[in-house]
Amino acid sequence: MRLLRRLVQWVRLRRLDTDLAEEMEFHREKMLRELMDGGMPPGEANALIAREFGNGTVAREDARGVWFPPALESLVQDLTYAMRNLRRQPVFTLVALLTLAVAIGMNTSLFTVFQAAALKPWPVRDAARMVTIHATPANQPEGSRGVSGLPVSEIRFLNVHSRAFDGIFVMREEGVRLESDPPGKSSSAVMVSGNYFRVLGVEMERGRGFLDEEDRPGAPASTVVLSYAAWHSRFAGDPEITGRKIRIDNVPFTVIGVASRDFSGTVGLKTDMWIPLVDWPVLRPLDRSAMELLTSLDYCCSHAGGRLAPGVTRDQARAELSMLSQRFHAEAGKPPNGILLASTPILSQPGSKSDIGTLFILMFTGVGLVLLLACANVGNLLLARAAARQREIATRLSLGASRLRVVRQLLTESLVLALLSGLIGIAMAMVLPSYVLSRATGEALNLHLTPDWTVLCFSVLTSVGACLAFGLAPALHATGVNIIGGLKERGLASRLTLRSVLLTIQVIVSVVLLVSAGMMIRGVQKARTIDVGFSVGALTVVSFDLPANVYTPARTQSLVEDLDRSLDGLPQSGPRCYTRSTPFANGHWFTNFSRSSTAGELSRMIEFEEVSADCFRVLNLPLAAGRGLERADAGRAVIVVNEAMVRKHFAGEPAVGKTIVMNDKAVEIVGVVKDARIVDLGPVEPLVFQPLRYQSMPHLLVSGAAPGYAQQIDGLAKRLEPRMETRVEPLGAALDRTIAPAQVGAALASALGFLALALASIGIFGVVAYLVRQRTQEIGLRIALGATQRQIAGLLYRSISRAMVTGLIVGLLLTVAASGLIKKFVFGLPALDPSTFGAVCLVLFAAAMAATWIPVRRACGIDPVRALHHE
Amino acid sequence: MERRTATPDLLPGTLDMLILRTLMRGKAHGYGIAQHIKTISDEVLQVGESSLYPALQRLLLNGWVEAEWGSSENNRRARFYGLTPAGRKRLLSEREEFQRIIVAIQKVLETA
Repeated sequence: MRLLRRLVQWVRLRRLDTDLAEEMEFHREKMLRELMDGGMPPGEANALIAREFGNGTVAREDARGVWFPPALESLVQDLTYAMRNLRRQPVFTLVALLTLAVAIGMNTSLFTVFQAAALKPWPVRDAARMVTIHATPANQPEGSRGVSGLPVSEIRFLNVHSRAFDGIFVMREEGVRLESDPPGKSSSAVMVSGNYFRVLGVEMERGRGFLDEEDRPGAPASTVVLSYAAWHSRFAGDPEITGRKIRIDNVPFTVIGVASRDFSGTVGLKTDMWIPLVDWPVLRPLDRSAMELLTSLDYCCSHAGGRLAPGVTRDQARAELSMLSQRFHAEAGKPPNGILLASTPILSQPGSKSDIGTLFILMFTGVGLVLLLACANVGNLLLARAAARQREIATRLSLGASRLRVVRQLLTESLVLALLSGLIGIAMAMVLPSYVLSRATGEALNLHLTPDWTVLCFSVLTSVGACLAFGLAPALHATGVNIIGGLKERGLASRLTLRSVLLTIQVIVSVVLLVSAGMMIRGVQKARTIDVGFSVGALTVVSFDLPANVYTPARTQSLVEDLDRSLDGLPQSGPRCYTRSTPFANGHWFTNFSRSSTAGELSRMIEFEEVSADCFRVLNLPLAAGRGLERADAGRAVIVVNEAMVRKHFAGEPAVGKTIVMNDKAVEIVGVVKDARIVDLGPVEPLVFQPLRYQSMPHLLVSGAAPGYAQQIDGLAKRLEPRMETRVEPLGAALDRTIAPAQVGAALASALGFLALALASIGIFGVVAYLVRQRTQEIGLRIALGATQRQIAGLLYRSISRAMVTGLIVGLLLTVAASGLIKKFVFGLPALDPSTFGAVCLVLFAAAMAATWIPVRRACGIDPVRALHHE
Repeated sequence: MERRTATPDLLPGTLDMLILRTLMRGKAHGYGIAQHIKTISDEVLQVGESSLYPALQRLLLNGWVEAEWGSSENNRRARFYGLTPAGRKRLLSEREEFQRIIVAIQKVLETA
């Protein structure tokens, strides 16, 4: 209430003053009248009143002070004054505001992403007690990442016996199809143990989470909990959703609940639905391994999470789990695991790439530099303005304003600028991160990118820090001059050194960012034209979607054979290749292998791909030795390997004819193919090609498909299986998707680079404009003495050339140092590309010329007579 | 410049209470309030404008009195203050508190 009354008075501030004045005037009049009625002469009465009641202004101010504390009032004064000043110079304000807003916005955006990935735990109650549980296998197969999940049965065992945890649960990501999924798209399901929602303490939007009974082995109840997003996108937010029967991979399930809006799961991608583990064999009736997954120790890798009991430390919990795990493995007669606990943010997971940390450092450096640049720049502009306001400030100081008061006044202006920019920055951070990430990955990452109060604090702190960085020095500088000198507009000689340093920094930052951006762009261009080792351009990928749970491997094989025969009838009847996964799909299939079956031979992980006969011909992948896979090889224990495999595991000796053990079966190497980047664009790793096994419907690869091929093949497929959906896509599109993240990266780097360039140009403009202003008399004198325009221009260019050259050299050296880091993220980046650097030099000098053009023109137009009369 | 506070000779809050009590009789303008306090107290308590008007603003801010412009006895525009229900309540509680303190002070004076 008090606040409201205060606000009302605030709005009618002037009214308050006149009211008070009028009422006190009335008071005095009444008093005077009374005294005079009592017989006192008017002069004496007036004097008495003046003596008794003193200065009316003070009383009025005291009365006013009840409403508005004086400190607040002077702050308001400062703010109004600052706003007026900023409005008076719209160009300066706009430039400063845009510069700062973009810089703060970029910092805030990056922080939003960083916070979501590295700092935010799972969105559940009391999240600090949640951990993820990982195994460190004792006899690690070579090539594995060192940390893995645990068998489902072990996780269940730990949950039952652990005292250090309130509960431990299982989570396994799987892809499933809902009826409402568009062709080619699937939904993400996470198979969980029955205690999942209870241990996490997730609030439900509708219905309930799972009960332990719904995850009892041998008694699957076919229940499902939907995510809030899936409930809305796939079921239009159906209010009657609980109890509704839906079909997942053609199997009926009952929806028992919808999770709260904030909860998007506990795995890397946003989860669409959760299903009890025991329902996995129900979802995969044709897959024998689905049942084994629940019981066998051979299926090592389910993820586990748990909630620590109150007061238990991680070390205690880890010790307990290690002991329990040893007991579990001893009972099963297997070697024990080590146990590792980790925090729940995505970047804390031990499996996540350590590169991402470096990437964040690189990006923070980039945006931090831009912010620094923006601050230096706005500082520079303020400095120039302070110089122009020298007279005003000196006048204020000489009239008795304290230095602190004037500094505060000037800082308020910077603060207003900074906070306004921070506001725009936060707005940027609300849209930019999700846009960029969706462009870069195309997947629904489980990141909560909405800025919260930490982001807000970060942004405000950044803004205030920036304000001090760019505002304090000019403010102190401006008020530090002696008053007489200031009134005469003199005593500014030392200013140029500070400005030159600022300018040099700007050039350095622009060079570093522009060259980095240039290198990344070249890298992306190179990735496009990279020699992947086989012909991409002419290849077309045909993918088929079969109804789930209908086709056994045998039926799939006969379907593919029927399809292949009918394709012979099409005009397009070149060789056809059927593969388990398409090139550049970035999906990796590993199995264990050893070079011989002798006991004690080390077991290693090897990546494999399944292909039909003719695949090497279609891909145009040349043989280095032996033969390719033939039609007759289907079902036989033969493989073809790549050269990287021969180099790494056979020390380059001829491998054809050798027998190795793969997945516990002896297989013979019949051929070696040249290295090619089939799986992704990274360095070629050892790879085994084995005959296609039809576990799932394979993809078809053909060379040189004619227009209309898609319709023809769809027609043929529909004739064989009406429920089959067909998708046709050139392989080049898959390659583009692989490059997309690098492209987004390059685009971001270029944006940063050009922002830096724009900032440096403004900086150069500021410096030269200031020089012209400061040396007006000197220039006038020179013109009077017959200097040509060229000489004047040369004089000005020389004054910035040292900063430019120093900046370029230092920038180049820094870039050389940074290129080692950038290389990690861009394929085939040249060590240092002279053409990129040359181009950057040219661009920078062109920008400098453009930025100096206006001030130089002004200098050349100086009228010597007026200039000399200036003082 | 040093800021003056309400009549230094009175206990803090006393002036507010005196004003509220005065307004119990009905609406009054600033001069009227000062005049009333002066006559009732046999000219002991003289309230100057430098303490009266800040005090009135304080009471307005707290919502204990309200003000409106009206015309005075000789038809001049004057600002009249009136008690609000909240002010009435405030006066009662202030008075009890004040009695307590007066009794306490007297006890100290008589026994010491």
